[in-house]
Amino acid sequence: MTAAPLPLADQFQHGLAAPICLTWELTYACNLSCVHCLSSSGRRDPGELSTAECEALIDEFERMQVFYVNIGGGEPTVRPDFWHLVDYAVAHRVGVKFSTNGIKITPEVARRLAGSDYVDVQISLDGATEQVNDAVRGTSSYRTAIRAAATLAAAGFRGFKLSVVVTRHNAAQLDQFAELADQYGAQLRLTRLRPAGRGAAVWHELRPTAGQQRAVYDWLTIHGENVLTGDSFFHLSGYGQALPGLNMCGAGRVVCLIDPVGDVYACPFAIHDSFLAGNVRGDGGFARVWRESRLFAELRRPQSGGACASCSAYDACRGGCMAAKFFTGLPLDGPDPECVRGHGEAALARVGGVTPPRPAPDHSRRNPVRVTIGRRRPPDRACDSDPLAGFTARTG
Amino acid sequence: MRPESFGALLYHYGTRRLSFLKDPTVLTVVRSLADHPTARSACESAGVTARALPAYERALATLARSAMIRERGAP
Amino acid sequence: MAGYNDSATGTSRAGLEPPAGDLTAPSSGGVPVAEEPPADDALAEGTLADDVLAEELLVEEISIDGMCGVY
Repeated sequence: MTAAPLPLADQFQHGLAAPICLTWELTYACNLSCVHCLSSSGRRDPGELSTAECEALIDEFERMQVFYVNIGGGEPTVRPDFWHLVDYAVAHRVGVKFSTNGIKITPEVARRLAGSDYVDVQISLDGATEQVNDAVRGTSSYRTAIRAAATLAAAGFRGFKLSVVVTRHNAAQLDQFAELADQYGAQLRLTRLRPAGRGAAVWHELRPTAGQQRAVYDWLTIHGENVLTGDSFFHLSGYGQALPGLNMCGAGRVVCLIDPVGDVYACPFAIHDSFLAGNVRGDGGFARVWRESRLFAELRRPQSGGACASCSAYDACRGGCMAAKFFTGLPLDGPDPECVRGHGEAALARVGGVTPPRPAPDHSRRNPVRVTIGRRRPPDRACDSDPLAGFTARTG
Repeated sequence: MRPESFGALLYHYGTRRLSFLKDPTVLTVVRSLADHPTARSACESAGVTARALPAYERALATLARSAMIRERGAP
Repeated sequence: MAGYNDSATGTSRAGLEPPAGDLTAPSSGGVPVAEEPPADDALAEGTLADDVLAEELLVEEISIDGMCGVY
């Protein structure tokens, strides 16, 4: 026969017929104002895709045989046509996983969801305790998320996702997150904090320390058999054995983002003109953007390692996350800012006072829900017994 | 199952597993399984050499283990 | 571009039958859910003798959550 097949990463250079995973932000509206929101959400954009345009997009997904779409936002469930669009997608052979803060997960909704194999739910949670979570996601967000998890569990929905962005303040809570997931029959998901959207402004204070990063890797290696990561820790492969997943940047190759106004970006963490491939409202719709955009063709070409090529870890880490580099002002052909060998720290020091690219566009609320990050004390140990220890209740 | 330039992608909604068929011949074999009495004859008919057969056997076993394909007559 | 097959039939999609069109339709996945295979088997590379090197590479399997760029 022929020679051995190429590694997957090299085969993507010819492009896939359709993205494997596609993130679709349905709206910029959100009831919360999480400090690290990757899409800077809060207020609906007046130009958001109409119901008919969303249906047409789903028709395209069907033609392209997209296996499933990850619907997020903002908070997607606040769109009045949300449940209709989910039904429409499933009826058109497109699976759905939607990402939510839990605000609209009623018992009736949970019952309907529990009955469908083709709809999955992901609840966002960034603290195993109310204090840690609400400091980042806002007052009452913990209660909302837990209530949604309990509601799904009570309705018999097994295996929904509890998705966590690992930060300096929750990195010590991984065991507790795992217990929470078990308690509600959910699957834990741990993901990397990227300096995207509002996250850019708080990245330096929220990102795990180097020691914590190592501990997260170790925890995943030992306890992570049933823990999902969205392949977001491939930059840690230099520590040793790679974690499960493709272990490569998927932007423009296997994934992309469609935003609420139809803009197509390489990745949800790279919402910026530099990574804008086109718009679904254009001629040829989404399919043409996916298949023919110049940006994606460039991203699909095999990358040389650039400054990383001579590093022994490069084969494993592939230079890390493009979005993390971009929004910290680092060159894309150099180390990830959190490079396990420390090359990222050195690179960050070199770019020093230069202002990195600003994430755009900004749909943040003008009067955001109060969060306490930046004004709070460090996590209070007493919260192990009293979830509200050290936490000043605020309205809003 | 979605054909691709390198072979094909298979997705199982129940297990949420994704299989990459990294060779177009594997895709041909998988597609023709229903028309052949045995996996071996499907492989031979697709032009798989005797030397390559073990690799194809392993590939089909992987797919069967993850319920992407199943034995005729199995529940 | 080579490889795109717009006319590919959807008939082989594992277990997928379009339900009645609302979330209350009973789940129709009829394919038996096998035990999760050890994914490491299919992903291990370069651990075997030369002429069976290709063996591990014909089919590679990962979780649908195994790609970066989905939050």
